[in-house]
Amino acid sequence: MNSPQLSDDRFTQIRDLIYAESGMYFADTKKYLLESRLSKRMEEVRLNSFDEYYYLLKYSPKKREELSKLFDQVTINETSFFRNMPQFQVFEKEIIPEILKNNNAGGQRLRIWSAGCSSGQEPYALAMILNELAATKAFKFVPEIIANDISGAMILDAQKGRYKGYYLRNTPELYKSKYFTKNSDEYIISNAIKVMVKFSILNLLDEAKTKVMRDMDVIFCRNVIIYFDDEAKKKVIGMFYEALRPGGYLFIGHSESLHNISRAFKLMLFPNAIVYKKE
Amino acid sequence: MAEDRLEEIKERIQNIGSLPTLPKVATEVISMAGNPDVSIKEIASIISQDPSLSAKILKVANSAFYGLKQRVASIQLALVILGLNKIKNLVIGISVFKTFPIRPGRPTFDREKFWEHSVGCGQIAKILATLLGCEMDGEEFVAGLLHDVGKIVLDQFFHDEFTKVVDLTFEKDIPMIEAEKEVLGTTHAEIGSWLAEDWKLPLSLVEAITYHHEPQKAALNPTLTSLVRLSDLFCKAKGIGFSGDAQGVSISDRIAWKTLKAAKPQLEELDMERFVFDLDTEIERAREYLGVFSNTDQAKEKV
Repeated sequence: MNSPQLSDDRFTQIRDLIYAESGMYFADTKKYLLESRLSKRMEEVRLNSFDEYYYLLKYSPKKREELSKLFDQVTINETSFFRNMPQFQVFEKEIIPEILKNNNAGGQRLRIWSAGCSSGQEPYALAMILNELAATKAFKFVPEIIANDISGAMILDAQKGRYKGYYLRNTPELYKSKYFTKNSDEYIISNAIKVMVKFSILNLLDEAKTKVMRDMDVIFCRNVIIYFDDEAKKKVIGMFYEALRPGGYLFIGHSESLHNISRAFKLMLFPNAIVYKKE
Repeated sequence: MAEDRLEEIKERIQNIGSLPTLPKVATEVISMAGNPDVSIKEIASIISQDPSLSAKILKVANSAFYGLKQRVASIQLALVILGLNKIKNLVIGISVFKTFPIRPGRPTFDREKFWEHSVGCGQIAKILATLLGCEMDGEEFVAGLLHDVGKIVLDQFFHDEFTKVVDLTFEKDIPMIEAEKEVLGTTHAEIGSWLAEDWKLPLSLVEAITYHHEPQKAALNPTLTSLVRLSDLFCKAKGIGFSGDAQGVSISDRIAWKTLKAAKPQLEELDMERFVFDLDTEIERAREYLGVFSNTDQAKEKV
């Protein structure tokens, strides 16, 4: 059987629908990507054409449910623990000490936000780093890690905290042995780390929900806004700026750029990592 | 006070032996290039007397470094096609490796890493200059290549003190130049400046070496000095080099950035993240040039 073809018109309609519902934007050059992700979903619901699938998304009584499943499919990311290590090193060795030094009230709250956390690898890695830092007793702080994703399935996975070994390939041995238990072919994240992270479902373009995110010290939002168009990117980055405390930092994906998106932040160059500072 | 220390250090170097020199042919080319009465043919004949230098020039001339479409088979042709200034800068770049060859480094000062940083700096300066439309016939590349040359002299003549400098840089997490002031009372920039003058390098090169940590003092060619300063910072951001300090740098707050932007307003439009990301490719390329300039390829083949 021939695989179904996604016509340009239909692509535009589905793309616009996804954009209206989630803010994720598939440029014309990303048609192939959307096509392959939609195909997977279509197989699961046993539909043979993109037309039928579009009607399902648009008119079916189950459209909400299907949209949410589609978002799960569309936002699947390759996310290993400690993906792009230099960013984590800068977080640990430069950013956190600087923040704690500048607000050394003693026993202060440190608020970290992992926006677009996928299945939890990023916020858990941050929790491990903070746990290690706390153990050195060089600083006193109470860490609070908030993590969210648009996909409910991802948040469920994150809360389970079970990972195939493949996702731990960049994880330092110390962390692997200290914070995971191995169970046949899975690694289970320790409770000590699990309780440090608060997970929830969140659409970054949902202003009513994002406006309560305030007083953040550090925000990680890596490889998330790549799905957004410029308008949505500007909105989200502006929202992050509001959410950060003065002196706070924003990390984006190491190949992403805020050029033409925002000039509000001060761009800081660290060894192999660019970080944005709110002054 | 610092002046006295510099003089003292100069004296100590002269007592131990003499300041390293550039090969004679390089000095001659520099001086001839400044003389309008000298013909291309005369310069070609001087260069051709040094077969190893000539071979390297042709190798670089035919590499991606210049991206020429036609093959260059003789020094005279290279001079005609590339022009005297480019060849002069190329001769300086190649010759410095004869004076300070790459050799397996000591743990405190790894000469291989040093040259990797220097050539990376040169390459970034070249790319930035191209982006901004202010190429300087390869002078920006050589300036990047030579900006830290004073460090080699310090390591060679004051090894123990220089080791202390490196240790202090890591210990206190301070810029190397601050540690130098503390331990030696002078800096690699001052020593480099002295060396560059002794070598009779073109004045704008001397200036870039002298002021690459204080670009606001450059008067002759502030653009060149600022380019070198920024390239140095970008190199650091890419982890190429061996300075111990890892503090974050805000490029747009730097005097070098402001100076360069005043001369080239389009700098403001540079997509910094993209630029930094793409530097990986440039640094790879710089490593290849390092092989060509220094002939380490051949050295490796012999081994």
